[in-house]
Amino acid sequence: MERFALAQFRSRPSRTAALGLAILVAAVAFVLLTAAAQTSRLDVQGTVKSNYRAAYDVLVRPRQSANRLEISRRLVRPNFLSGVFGGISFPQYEAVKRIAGVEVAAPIANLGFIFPVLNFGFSVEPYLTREPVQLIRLRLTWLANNDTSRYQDASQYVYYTRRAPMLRYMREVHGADTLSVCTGFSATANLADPFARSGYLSCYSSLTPGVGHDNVANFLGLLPPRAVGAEIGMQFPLFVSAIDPVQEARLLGLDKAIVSGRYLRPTEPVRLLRTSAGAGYRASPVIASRKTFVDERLRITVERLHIPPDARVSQTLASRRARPFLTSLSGRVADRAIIGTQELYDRLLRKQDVVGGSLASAFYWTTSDVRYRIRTKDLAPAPADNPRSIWRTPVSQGGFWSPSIENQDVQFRGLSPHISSWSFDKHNTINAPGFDLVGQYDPERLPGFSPLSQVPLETYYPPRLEPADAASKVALGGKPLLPTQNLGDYIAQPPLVLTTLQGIRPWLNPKYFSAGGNRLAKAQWRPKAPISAIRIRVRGVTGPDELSQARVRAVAQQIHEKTGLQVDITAGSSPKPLLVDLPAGKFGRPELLLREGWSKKGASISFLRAVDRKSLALFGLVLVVCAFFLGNGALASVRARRSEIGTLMTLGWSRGRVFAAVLLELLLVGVVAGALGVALAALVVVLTSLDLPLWRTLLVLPLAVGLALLAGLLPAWLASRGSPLDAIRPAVSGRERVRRLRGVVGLALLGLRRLPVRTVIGSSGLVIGVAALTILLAIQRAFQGVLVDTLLGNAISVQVRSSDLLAAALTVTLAGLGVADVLYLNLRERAAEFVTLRTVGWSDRHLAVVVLVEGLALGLLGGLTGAALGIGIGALMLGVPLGSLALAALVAAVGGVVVALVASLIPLSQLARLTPPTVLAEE
Amino acid sequence: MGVAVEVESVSKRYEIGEGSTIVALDSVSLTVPAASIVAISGPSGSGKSTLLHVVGAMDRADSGRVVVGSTEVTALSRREQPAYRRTIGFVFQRFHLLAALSALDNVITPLLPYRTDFDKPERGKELLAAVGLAGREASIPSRLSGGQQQRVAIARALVNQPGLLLADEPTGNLDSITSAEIMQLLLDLRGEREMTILVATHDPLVASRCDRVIRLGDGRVVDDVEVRRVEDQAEVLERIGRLDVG
Repeated sequence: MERFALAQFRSRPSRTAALGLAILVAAVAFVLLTAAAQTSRLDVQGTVKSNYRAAYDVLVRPRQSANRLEISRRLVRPNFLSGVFGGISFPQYEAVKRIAGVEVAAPIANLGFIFPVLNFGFSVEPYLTREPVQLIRLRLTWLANNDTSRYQDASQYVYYTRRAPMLRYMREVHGADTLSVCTGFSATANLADPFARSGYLSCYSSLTPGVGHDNVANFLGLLPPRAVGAEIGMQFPLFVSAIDPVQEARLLGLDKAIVSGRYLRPTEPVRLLRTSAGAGYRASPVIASRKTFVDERLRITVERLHIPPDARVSQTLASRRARPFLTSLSGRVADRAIIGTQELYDRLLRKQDVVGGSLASAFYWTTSDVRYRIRTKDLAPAPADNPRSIWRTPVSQGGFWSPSIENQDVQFRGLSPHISSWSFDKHNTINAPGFDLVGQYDPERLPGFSPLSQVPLETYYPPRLEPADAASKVALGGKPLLPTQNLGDYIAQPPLVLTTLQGIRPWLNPKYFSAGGNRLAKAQWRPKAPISAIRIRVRGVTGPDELSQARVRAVAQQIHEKTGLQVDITAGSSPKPLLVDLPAGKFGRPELLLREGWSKKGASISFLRAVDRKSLALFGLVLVVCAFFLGNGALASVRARRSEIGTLMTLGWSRGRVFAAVLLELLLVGVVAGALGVALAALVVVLTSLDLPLWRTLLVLPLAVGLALLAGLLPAWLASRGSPLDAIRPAVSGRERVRRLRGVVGLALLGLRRLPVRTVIGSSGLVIGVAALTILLAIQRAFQGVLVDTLLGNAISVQVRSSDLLAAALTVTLAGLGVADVLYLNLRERAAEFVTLRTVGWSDRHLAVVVLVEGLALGLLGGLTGAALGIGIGALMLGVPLGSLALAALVAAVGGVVVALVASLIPLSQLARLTPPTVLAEE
Repeated sequence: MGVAVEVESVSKRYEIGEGSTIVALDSVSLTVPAASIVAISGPSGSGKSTLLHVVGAMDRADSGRVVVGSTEVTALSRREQPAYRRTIGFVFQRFHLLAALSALDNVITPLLPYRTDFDKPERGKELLAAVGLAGREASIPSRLSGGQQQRVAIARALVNQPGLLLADEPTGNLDSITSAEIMQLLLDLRGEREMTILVATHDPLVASRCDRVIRLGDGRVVDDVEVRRVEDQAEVLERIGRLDVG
């Protein structure tokens, strides 16, 4: 029996090799392709029923940016943007934009806080009396959190004399001597403590009005030259982010919210500006929010100080005793003025050049996100560790920069300063950029969305934090908690200043800006991948219907696959308020219980590693076509040996034995091909470092053997059904019905008609391959590779991967080999006929035409049927437009025919060997 | 019109693997006048078929020269061979009909790739009638007897109105009565069409009915007998019989 099987190998070694090669290629391809197409599968829990459409459908965040709570409870935190300073690179963003189905991809790149200087003059003239010497104190207090937090800022002093004139630099004239009355106070300022506020002393004489212009307020033009008053200065923290103006306009209509100036231009360059002194600096264009959400009030208390009768005021102020003297004096309140931060902010914007200004910024600050202790009923934000040393800067006088006084309070975010090296390049341009205010927008003009499904819009609003118990309600006066000037406060300021993605680039150069401060905040600053989040609107999403959901899912999955970023489906989210237990502050704010508007995702997704089922099916086609090929070969082999098998049966072989012998033959091919295939697959895995465990290549062997056995079943069964009489019947006989024969082509077609089973099997590989290719190409063309539609009422999404196209192409190629095999078998079985034709005067060309026409006919049969099948499935079941299908079908069918024709060249090369001596000798 | 065949010192060897060769034809020379019917006789492997193949330009001689009519067959290029083959007819022992084609289609197969100035099926029908198969045009080979199949094959060989008919064991697969019928058919055709006919056969009865019997042995001409009278036939029978048995 073994000999019977082996005999076939020996007599036709090249054909056996071809069969083995087909098994090997198919099995190896299947195993490797399944590995290459291992992909993340989107696992969706829950569906969205209503209130579907929000500003965006998908939120893309840096890898691992969702905290434990978000993951375990399917939540998105409202302040998802704060504390995220990059993590998404520009190439990743471009990749996201290119994904089919993405209608809008609006990135936001957080830069951090900058601190433009806001100062204004405060006139004390209404409070001056006839007294010869007067001292006035302006006590500055910041009131925040419904005035529960009170921050004492520096006090400003005014000295006013009617006794002595003053020379320049506030030198008071006493006979021949002068006293520098204003220097003693400032000489003792404590610059080594970022929160020790020293204030200024301004000095005026009624006898020499106008000399007072040497005082800061007058000198800076904050007060008229002759006016008497003080400068009130502050560094107002502004959060800067970068957007893509085009995408932002499409997502939210930000361009429509511009109330003065203009909107950002899509590719607005960073301008190189020069100061009057010739120093250059880079200015990024920005637009600013009309509204600040910083909720504080500045209270200015005007006090007339009681001067002790024995005090020698001039002499004391000129000495180092000036500071203790002034600060210890008691006073009588003359007036109180209150200025809100919105008004201060308005003043800031009015002085356009001061926003970032015509001055470069020496530093900016980033923050970490808030860490929570998760308790059963609420969340407890954990205070962050920001030692005073983080305020140290090499560019500030005294070594420390003085941040807003509020930063002494409890902080929940780590802070990281990014300080410019403050040096000039060879073009005399300082490497610290600035901002150039080109317009202002009103966040309240942005469109609102369904309040029920509002997803966090932290770009433009701070999250809502409502008091959740009676005590908190009283403490906050029933109002929500809003941001303060405390950078590390629980609630963060939304971006108030927006620039372009190009605009933040000068700020991200690690050569010029270092990172320091809090470890966590430092780690969360990623200048090389500066985008913090991308908000995605998906094309064709109309509501909570299944199709829309499938579209959103398809986009979400692709984004995750192509970038590995964290993806949340925000479409269909609903508010899920969580309780936040905010510890008491150090400046009066009591412990507060707050309700924060987190979002519950309607559909939560997780990604599992799995092989796309559709890809798996496509790869399976490779095996099916290979099985066809093998089956045809085995059938032919059985047919060729019918007489031999008949003879064996007359000699007493049982049917079972014949069955086993035929199967054994293919089994041997399968084992050898499988063994070689394991080696080949392992080699490929090692060489290409494919992500596949090496042991998996062993699967090639059982796959090859199984394939061979499967293909051998039918022929083996047919062989065992044979009868001993077959020994004397011809292998290929004519059919009863005879048609008129027309020419060479007719003869070729007759050759195919004679063995209809072989012809059908030979072309069905092409049918399958061409149909698959048609559908894949059409989807690729019509939907840029991703089809989302409903099939039998179920939403489906089909994503065409390159491995799918590869599998379809491989299927067509294998089918081509199958065609070649059919032609070869036809040629071999009719060798005598071909020789006869040659002897009766047919030329080689005519014989070649017969083979080529057979190949062409098989190609057309398979190609056209496959194209029709592909169009049918594509149009009726998948809803692919006919135009795309027709074009794809044309390409695939032509490809199939070409493959068949090329395949015909293999048997064609055998033609020359068909000479009377060789063939007739075999008879 | 028949053509003369001249074979001059033709040799042909075959490699049969492992470096050994067999000599099929060893400097064979013979002349066949136009319109004669000559038997090439000899046991299996004596070179009969090879000689016919070389004459029919189906195989190339290693050396020597074959001239058929005005054509130097041994000088034909591969491209010129088909045209030459259309001027001769070939009949095989196993008929080699195309199993899927009707008798009529089989007869006109040689014409299929070519344009003709006559009606092909008409020509086919005439020839089938000429070989005694009128009315069997639509039959496929498997429905015909061996003798009938060989008649179809002969009709096919005649379709190009050849001047030379090469018949390689035309009766080898036939019983003796059918053999005699086929031989008679060939003789009749020679008479009607004045064809030259070369018949390779190891059947003494067939050989004895030819004008002349050339016997081959181990690739060489060992005997050349004119058959003019009944006595000659008897001699041929005796000689061939003895040789074949020996």
